[in-house]
Amino acid sequence: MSEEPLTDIDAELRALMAVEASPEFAARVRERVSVERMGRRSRMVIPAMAAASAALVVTAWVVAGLTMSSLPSGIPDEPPVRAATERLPPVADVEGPPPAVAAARIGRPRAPIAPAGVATGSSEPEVVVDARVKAAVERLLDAAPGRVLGDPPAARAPDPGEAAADLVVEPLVVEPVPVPGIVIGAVGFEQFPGRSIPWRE
Amino acid sequence: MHEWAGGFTGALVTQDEALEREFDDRLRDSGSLAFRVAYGVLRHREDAEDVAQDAFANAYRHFKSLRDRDRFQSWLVRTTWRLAIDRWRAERRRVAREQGIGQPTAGETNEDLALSRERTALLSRAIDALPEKLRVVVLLSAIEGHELRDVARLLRLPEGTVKSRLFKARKSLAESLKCLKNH
Repeated sequence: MSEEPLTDIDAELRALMAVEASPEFAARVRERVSVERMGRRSRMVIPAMAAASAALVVTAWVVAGLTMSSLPSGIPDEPPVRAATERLPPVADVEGPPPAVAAARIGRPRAPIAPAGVATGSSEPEVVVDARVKAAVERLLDAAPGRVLGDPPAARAPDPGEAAADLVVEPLVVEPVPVPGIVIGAVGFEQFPGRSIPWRE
Repeated sequence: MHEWAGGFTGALVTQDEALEREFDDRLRDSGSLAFRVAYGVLRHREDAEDVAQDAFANAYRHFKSLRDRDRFQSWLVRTTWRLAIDRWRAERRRVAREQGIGQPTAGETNEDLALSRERTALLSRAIDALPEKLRVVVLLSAIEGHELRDVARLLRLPEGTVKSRLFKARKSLAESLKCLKNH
């Protein structure tokens, strides 16, 4: 509008638009914006926390995946199965330094390495009993009254008649044992005092 | 985790504070402009302040994409204009507005005031009768210190377009005023 001289209409329009906002206007706008600001912050913090948590979970998942992929391929996923007669290593071996494979298992779910039926987490050495020995012990227990260990005695108790038939009694043979040494005639010694004791050659 | 999350939110808050400082600068620069644009449409101080306030609250919500000063002012003018037009169309306070225009100043007689009121009312009606694209040009040009290039920048229009619209607006206003006076 500076290119042309002001007309009456221009002057009137300028006068019309020369009004100023009230002194409280800026303060009111700031107050209104601060309300918006508080609402926006509260809306932003929760998604930010959620995003941080999600990122952490994803990072942990990726790290776990990388660790698993770096494991030696020879390590089986399943726990080792031991033969019934196999013995566990002695206590000294169990308490010794862990093998290198154990260190590579970081971040991996740990599978129990004890055979089925054996409680894990115990510090006692495991004893695996040979099947034949176990059967012999069971037979002994079955024959004994008041049996408390193992299977129910009623199921395995032997018939008393059968037990008697199986019993073999060896004949008792008594043989005299030659005893070289002193023969003391105690009675004669008492009856005849002052006499010497005869020595047999 | 808490430290990491705290750092993350802390960075967000710091970024937020920088944005808010910029927004305060824009509020200082453009508060008067928004108010006058609204006043040019509504010719009522309180209504114009309400509309300008709404426009600023709206601008705050979109401020991340409006950080450039020119872009911000252009967006603010258009938003304020739209909000003011919406309110003007509602005409809730039209009667109060017409009754409240002008107060006698020192040295002004009641007769002067009556004439001034009449003239202002005529001008207001003439402005309201203008098509919107002419009206916004004439009102923005009437803000003191605004030249053609400023209006063109705010409306994102070529200067030639603004000049021709301003010419048409003045011509239309003059005819309307003559017509209204005769009635």
